[in-house]
Amino acid sequence: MKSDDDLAALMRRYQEGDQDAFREIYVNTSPGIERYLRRWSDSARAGDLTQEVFLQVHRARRTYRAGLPLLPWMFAIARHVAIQHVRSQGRRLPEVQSDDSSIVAIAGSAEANLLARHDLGAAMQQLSDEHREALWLTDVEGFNSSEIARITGVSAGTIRVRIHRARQKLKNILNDAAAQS
Amino acid sequence: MTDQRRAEFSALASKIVGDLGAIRPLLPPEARTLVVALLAASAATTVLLVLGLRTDIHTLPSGIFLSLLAARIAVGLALILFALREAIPAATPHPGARAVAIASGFGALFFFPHLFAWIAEAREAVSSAVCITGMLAVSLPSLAITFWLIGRGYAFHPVHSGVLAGLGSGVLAEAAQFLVCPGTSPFHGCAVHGGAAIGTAACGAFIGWLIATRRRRRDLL
Repeated sequence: MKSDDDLAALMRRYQEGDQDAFREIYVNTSPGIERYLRRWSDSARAGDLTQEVFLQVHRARRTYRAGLPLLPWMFAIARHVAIQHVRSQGRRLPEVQSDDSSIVAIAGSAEANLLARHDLGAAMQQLSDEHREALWLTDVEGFNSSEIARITGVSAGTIRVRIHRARQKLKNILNDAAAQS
Repeated sequence: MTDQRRAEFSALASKIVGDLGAIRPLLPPEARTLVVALLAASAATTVLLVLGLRTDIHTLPSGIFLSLLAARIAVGLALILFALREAIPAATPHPGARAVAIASGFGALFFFPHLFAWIAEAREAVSSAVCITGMLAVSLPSLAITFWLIGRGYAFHPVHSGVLAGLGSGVLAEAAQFLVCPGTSPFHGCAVHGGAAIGTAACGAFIGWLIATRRRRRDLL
């Protein structure tokens, strides 16, 4: 995965009409975009949605401004495409799978010792969509709160509160489960 | 790149290959707001030249008059700025800021006339039709240029953009009309000036809805 500066430089070349730069952006960012879209759709559909995201990225490429990080801009478009997809399907987000390797990234910031005994995927499922998304974007995708705010269109303060509450709730769920067992 | 990823990229590239020319990135929304400001100022100057400065200008307390005028212009430009930011991914204003901007727009349209009535002598407006014409002469060109600028971006919610653009254009038009119309009655200010501005906002919402509908159809094809 290239650094933010490298991706921004590639995006500038892409805006100048360089197809190779677009290919490089695709290679470097499509796995992360697809992983994010799997939160919103089944795995098979996530591939199609990723294609759709890059089509929309192409349509919106004029709106990217040099100097800003590229990934929040791309994830904002991905989120919009995903929301449109969920609305068109008229359903909620799919359940988090407990065997999802990305769960491990979240476990690192939660109670790792409890993870061995309890199903973090099931615990994540008990969080609200907003809390789960905030936790996902920070712990799995590695965005900071102001970048998540740019992606989701809410304030950075709201995001910090959501992350804090999500972690607190996750901890309580896991503690309760540990006490019951 | 895996074979599957390569195949997916080829399919994607074939869709965009005909549209891969160099493009110029958009200027920041702040700079593009100035374009709308210049156009609105030109339209306001034309209205001012045709209808003349309000007849009671010399009797008004200049500090308060200019403050109310500046506040209207600031609110109108802030709404236009928000409308343009709505069309930039990862730069959209958050819901709280959007709500404050819209509330400020309504405040400028419906609270300022009452405030002004306390400090100015009661005078009737010349004609509601003249006021509405003057308002539309400023607001519609501003709305048109704002939509053109929004169209060059990528609005997630064209209806939001349209409401903000329409309300901003309406408030800017009301600022221009404030220089022209001698009417100080709150009823005239709210019903005629406010009504024309709200009409512009409704027009913006409608255009935004049309854009959203057209985009949905395009994406379904």
